[in-house]
Amino acid sequence: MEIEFRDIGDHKVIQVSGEVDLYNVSELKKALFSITDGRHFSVIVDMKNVNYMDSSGIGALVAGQKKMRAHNGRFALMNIHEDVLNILKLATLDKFFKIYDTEDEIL
Amino acid sequence: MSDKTGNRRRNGTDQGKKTAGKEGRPGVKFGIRLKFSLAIMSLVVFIILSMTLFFIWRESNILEMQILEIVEREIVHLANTAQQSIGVDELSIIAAINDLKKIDYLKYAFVLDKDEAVVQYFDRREKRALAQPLDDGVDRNLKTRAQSDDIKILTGRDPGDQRGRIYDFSRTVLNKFDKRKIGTVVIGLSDIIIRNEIANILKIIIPISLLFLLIAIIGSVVMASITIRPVRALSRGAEIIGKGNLDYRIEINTSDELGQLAREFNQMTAQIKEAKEKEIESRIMEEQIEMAKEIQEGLNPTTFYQKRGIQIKGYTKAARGVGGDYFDYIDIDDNKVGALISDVAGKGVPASLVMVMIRTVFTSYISRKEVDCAGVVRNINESLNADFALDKFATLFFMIYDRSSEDLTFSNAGHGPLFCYRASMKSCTITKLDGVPIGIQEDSEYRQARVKLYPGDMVILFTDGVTEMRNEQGEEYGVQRLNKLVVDNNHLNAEEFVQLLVNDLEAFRGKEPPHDDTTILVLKRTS
Repeated sequence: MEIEFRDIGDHKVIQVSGEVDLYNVSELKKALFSITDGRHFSVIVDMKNVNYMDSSGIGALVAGQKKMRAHNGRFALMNIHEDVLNILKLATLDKFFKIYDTEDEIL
Repeated sequence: MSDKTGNRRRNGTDQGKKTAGKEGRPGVKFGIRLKFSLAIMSLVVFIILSMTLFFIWRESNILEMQILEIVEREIVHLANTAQQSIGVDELSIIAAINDLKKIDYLKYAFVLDKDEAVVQYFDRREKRALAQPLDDGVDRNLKTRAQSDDIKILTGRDPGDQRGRIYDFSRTVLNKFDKRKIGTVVIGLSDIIIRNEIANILKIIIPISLLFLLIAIIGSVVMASITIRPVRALSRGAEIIGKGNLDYRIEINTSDELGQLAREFNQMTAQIKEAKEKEIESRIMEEQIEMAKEIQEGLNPTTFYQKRGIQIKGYTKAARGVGGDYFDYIDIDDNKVGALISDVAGKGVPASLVMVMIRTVFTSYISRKEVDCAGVVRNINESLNADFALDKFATLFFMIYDRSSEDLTFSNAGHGPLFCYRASMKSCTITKLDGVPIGIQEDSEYRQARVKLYPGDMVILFTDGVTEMRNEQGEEYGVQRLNKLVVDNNHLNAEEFVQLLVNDLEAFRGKEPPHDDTTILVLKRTS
């Protein structure tokens, strides 16, 4: 799994690549926690290159959402792979997250 | 608990000692010190012996040359005397012979005339007649040497001494003026003088050599001991450490290879100790997880529920150790029976703790008389939301079957649809109902749905560990396989079907280890 940060306008984007599972989720969690501490108004997770994510990975996203909500900030997902979206749908979490299909929707 | 581990640890060390004692250390027959000493000793002995022999040989040669030179001077002197005195002054020749006679290592001396007849002589071998040709068996070739006054030296056996040799010096005496031969002088030298001198030299050299040898032997043993000491320290250290004392450190502080070896050895011992401690720790941890697993398995009902037309059977197995899956069923009142399945995100100990939290809240709410599905799920979510770690959530499915109304009511917190075999249709139906998992947001709203359940109908609840079970080719078990298994085996009772599904999953998985906790809950209406 690889993690990169970039900015689109006022949004902090965290780009995740590879599979996210129990064994590397702590990396994602650490990265997410480093930008959801209230310094940024909006955090977006770009999941274009994530083709697999297990429940612990989703847990990390939930944690990011909760933290941003606590700071009255915004948290969103972007470019979600269909398989990952299905997992979110199965757990009825697709409604819990704000999900963008493309970068254009953000601006 | 601590006693148990303590005992085991002690047993471990005892066992270690026993094995070490049993195998023993093969005795050192020819120690490295002995070998080393012998090597140095033989080298030193070789050098000293060679030097001694060379010294003796050289001294002997010098000595021999010196003595021969002396005798050569004597014969030159005698020749000169003979030159002046043959046929003129017999007394001078006698005096000269007598002078030579005083030198006791000269065997004989002759002055011969031009026809090799003896003019004057002395001979310690035997008496000779004067004026008679000399015939003592030494081939001096005097006839052919008439024109030369070179000194000829011959060596031959000493008839009077077994080991002795005689150096025979002969010189032709020529007339001063016309260089014609006027006679011959002969001196015989016994080598006893040389041998005696060599024996004298040996008397000095041998004790000195022996002294040096002694010093060399002692020196080599001492040197070997000093050089070998670190090796012995290493060997002893290795033995002690090998017997299990991992706190032992080899004390060699030299900066050579042995010192380096000792340092690396010490480092290795420290690492082994660390690894062993870690192993003990992880073994204790594993034991504790094993105990926790037993406790957790006890939290799930193991009995086969069969009451008034309803059968319920569940099964759960953690991928490793403890897990986050949970199922339960309970009689709410005479008519109603509730059943729940839940899957905590993640695996292992953290998930198992959340699972226990869910169970605690569930069992306390379910004991109230008036319960409805959505209410139970909402209450669980509200109670636990604040206590969950940020990244923890759980899916949960709860249903209540009411025998009086034949209705099955269910609520879903992100777990999945209701999967149900319908006897009348001989196929499975899927009933979806939205609901956010537990622990996502405090104010989640949960709804409940109601379906009829007829005799022969069977509800199958499962966690994603079942459908996502992978085989060695990486394929997933999937809903299709489950669907077919249910349709083909709808005649089985709940317990038999759970067992069949478990067996089928195990067969499908083969040698591939399970990736997730697996939980099944089957509710069947028989009548």
